[in-house]
Amino acid sequence: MDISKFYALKDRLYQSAAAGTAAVSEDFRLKRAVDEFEAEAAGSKAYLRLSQLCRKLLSDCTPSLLADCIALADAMTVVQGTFSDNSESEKSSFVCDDDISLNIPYSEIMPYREYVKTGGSSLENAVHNLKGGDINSDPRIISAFISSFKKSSMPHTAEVLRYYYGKKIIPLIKNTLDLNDPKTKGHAVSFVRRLARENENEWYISLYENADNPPEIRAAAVRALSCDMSNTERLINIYKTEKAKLKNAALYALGELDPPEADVIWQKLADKYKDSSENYFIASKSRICTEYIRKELDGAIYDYKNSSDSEKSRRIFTLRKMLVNKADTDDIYLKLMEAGFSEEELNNILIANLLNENNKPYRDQILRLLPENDFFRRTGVVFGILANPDLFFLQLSEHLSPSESMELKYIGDIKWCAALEHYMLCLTIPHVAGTNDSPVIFSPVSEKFPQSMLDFVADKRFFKSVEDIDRVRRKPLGQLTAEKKIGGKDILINFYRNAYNLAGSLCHTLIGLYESCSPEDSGRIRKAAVDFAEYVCGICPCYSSIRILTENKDISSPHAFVGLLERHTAYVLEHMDHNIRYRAWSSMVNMFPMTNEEKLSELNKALAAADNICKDKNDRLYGGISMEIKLSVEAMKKTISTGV
Amino acid sequence: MSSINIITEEFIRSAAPNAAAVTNGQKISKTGGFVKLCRSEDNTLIFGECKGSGKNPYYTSADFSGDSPVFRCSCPSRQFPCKHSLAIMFEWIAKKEFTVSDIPEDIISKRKKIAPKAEKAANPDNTVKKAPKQNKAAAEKKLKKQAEGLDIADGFVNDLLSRGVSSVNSSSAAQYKTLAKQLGDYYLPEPQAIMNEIVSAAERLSAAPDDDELHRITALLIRLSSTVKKSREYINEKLESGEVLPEDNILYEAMGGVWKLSQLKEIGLYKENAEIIQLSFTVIHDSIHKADIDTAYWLDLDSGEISRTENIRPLKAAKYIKSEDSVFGVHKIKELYRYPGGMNRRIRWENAVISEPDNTVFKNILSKAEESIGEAVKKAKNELKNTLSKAVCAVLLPYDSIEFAVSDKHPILKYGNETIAMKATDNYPDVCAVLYASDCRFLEKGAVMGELFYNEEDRKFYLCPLSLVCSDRIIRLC
Repeated sequence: MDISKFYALKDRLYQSAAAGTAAVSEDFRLKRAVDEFEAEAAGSKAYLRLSQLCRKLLSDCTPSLLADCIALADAMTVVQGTFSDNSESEKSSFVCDDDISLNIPYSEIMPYREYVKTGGSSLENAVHNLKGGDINSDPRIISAFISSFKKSSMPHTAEVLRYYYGKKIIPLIKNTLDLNDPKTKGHAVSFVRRLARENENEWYISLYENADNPPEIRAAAVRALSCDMSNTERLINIYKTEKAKLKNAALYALGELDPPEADVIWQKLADKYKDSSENYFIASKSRICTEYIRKELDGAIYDYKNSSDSEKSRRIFTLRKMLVNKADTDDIYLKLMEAGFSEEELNNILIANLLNENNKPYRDQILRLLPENDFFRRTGVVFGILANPDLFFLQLSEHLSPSESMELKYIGDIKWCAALEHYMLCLTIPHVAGTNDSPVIFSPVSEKFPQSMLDFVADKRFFKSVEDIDRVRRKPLGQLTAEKKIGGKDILINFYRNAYNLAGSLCHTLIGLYESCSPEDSGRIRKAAVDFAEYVCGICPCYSSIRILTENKDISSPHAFVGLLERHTAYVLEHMDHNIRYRAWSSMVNMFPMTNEEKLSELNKALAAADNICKDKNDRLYGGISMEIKLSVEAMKKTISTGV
Repeated sequence: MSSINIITEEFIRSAAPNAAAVTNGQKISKTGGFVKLCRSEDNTLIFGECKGSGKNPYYTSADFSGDSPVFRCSCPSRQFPCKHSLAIMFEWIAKKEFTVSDIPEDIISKRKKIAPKAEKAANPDNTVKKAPKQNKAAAEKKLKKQAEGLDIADGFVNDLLSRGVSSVNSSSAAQYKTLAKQLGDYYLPEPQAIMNEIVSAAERLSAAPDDDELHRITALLIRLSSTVKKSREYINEKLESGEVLPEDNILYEAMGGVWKLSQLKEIGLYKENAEIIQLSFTVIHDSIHKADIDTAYWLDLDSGEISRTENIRPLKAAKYIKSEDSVFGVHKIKELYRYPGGMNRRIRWENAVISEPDNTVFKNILSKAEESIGEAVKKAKNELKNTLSKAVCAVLLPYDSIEFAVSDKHPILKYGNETIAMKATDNYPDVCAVLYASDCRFLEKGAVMGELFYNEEDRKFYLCPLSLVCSDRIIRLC
């Protein structure tokens, strides 16, 4: 039987349903299909039946009959269906993990799967949301991770999960790359490049050499060739012969690889420098580019300081951007430092350089620069955390300094990553020196939170000096700093306001630590936080210190809350610029572990302290604080009386 | 009577009304929400005080003194168990310290009240209430009404086929929608739902012509036509014979009937002492019925039959109906109720005792796989050729290996000399990608539970894989 006649008939029947039975009698195509099918139908009872029905349909077409014909044709189609597939096939070689826990409820895995598919909204978000345990070994999660590479940008979760999966994920990524879709992005190739480096060199070459592959894949493959010096000739050839994306990718790769053979290319670009070369000069490690910066630097600094031409005066910023990926530029950094450039931006370049695969030259540079000046302290902190956090903070604690914000900022960037069961430094370096890049440092720190780091944050020694100052505290605010030796160490002592800010920063950091630490470290960190907060509350209570005590009242001393609000009120009114939102403070009394009557007593004490300090002052702000406490008192009285 | 020792995480999840309640309960437990935790000396009760948003704590308990656990809480939530009851169970499995205490008076008195009910329920003859005596006259009246409704549905089919599916425009669509609404008065919710879907789809089609969609609508129309025809025969037969009460026939549900367990028992559609295990679970969105359906496939460890459970949650009532979740244990069920149907019948039950499966269970499952791919496809053909059947057929196919096509990486199941390609469907869009991400060691010598379906485009049968069964585990793909 010529089965095509049957399918042709079936198609015509469906067309008749679309057109309506009114048109059937004039449908010559249907008639032809019926005639041709009839000729083939003799051998089968079912075909004969269908043929008879269709013949009847031509002369006496009713909707019911048409429906019967289609229903019968559908049933016959199913019965005739085949199933074999003899496509050439190969076995998978992907090996994951033997002891994965597979009994994960649908309600848990599906939302997590959807999250992994999105790739996360930021690195911090990924660190926070990626789960620990074996869930990431579930094939449903692995496939979600693979599919996240289809997004327009590299998934943030990739930064974390490359550690989790390691190189075993590479075959899967390679094999699932959709080379038929011209819009496929190159992220997966970049990801493999990061994990496997030169081990997949042949794959990168094959991806580039197939001209049918999607353009972004080929470009990413060319860029990936920077993994191995043996690709030098190929890259130079690509640069010379290809156009647009591929040419650009080759130039970037040559910049990363920095072979001597490419010097002639960089020299040509430097000799006829154009703005369009800027990004390549930024990415390049070439000494030619470094020399270019050096050659232009003095003139650019001069123009920056003296020129009224905005284009000329901004030239220095372009040169500064180019410091990225350049080692042996100590003199340039020092010149820029002397010229008054932003400490943060110059340091960010040094920090970003640590991301280079072979970062020894950059580390050596940092070690040379650090002793020069405290200007590079910021880089030193990151460097210390990455090198040996325990030792670094142990050494740091030998030298007290009020500029704690830097250390605290980077301590705050250390997060517990449940997926990796490790503390990781999660540092996004914002728009390094004006480039579009925001490189990310995501590097392991330790399995347990370093005690020396905790000791550094919870260090009470600075406040001892404040206590000394407090004994003669009625000095005018105009008096700035005083040098004082404590224990033989030189420190700078700031006045009350900085003590308050310092207390706030340290307590805030401690809160961040216990909110994002591992379950094992939680008790230790909370205990240190409470101990520190109780101490600070005795001297210069701040919002964060009170918050630590109220959030951890199970382990803080009950007496820590007695008189706390009164002390805080007095401190604020006596020492501070009073532009503080006090309402949050007095509402915190609701969290104290006391009865309502005791809380009311605390509020009344605070009110008395406020009135006492404010009585001679006719100041709206002073009065404002008193008023807010009064409101809290009234609210508490109402709570007591109504029980609500 | 059971004890608090049956509390496991799986138990808590199965008791919870929805996943959000589980999450909230876990949160309360992790953040130290309980100020007091107690248990009874006989280990049938855990109770405690939980901080709430108000001044006073909530008094929460989980009572296992009866056949079924009873959850009590003084919070204003109307969900049972509430998040506090779930939280106290999480506290238990987290091995927090529970002080041995006397059972509170109010719980003692509540227990006394439910004791007589429990005694009655404990009578083995009363596992499911007896079906109330059905009113034959009412049933006959209903059938006649349905017959009238079928005339309306028939008229719709005829009209649409007569004018042509492509002829639907906004004005005719409005008329058809009115017609479909009328069917609600004739106890025909299923045909009504199909009619609505046809009209909406045809209306969209007129704005954006699409051959595939046209084909789908025509298929739906044919399905409706068959439903009407067979339903009419069914009703006429019943009215002529006088046997008007529901019987073992899929048309009862096809016309919108809702089975009670007691009715199923009465007509003998149940199995005693069944042992089943879930092989897959997912939530499917049904656009025709505007509902989410928690769908699971189960294997009977004795007969090897694959059945399905469906928990239908109409979108309008979603928050009032408890959602289900995947489960992993062997379910021992005193009375397993089976709906009428062919392959993959729907099943339901009231209570089950769940136990952890061991390797003998997995080996047992493997032994229940089909003899060959050809045999399975043959069974599927027999089922799928019926217009009223579902479009898929769940089977357990053995494999020597699962490989991937060199050309486009689609998975291919190989068993003996036979092969069958695997393909994802709209309900399970990612399964093939998940299969590809599975450890290769599980792709040798096992069995796949999946849905066989016929693809019109290339006129072939495919398998949509839902889980892999190995000698020591089940790997879910969805």
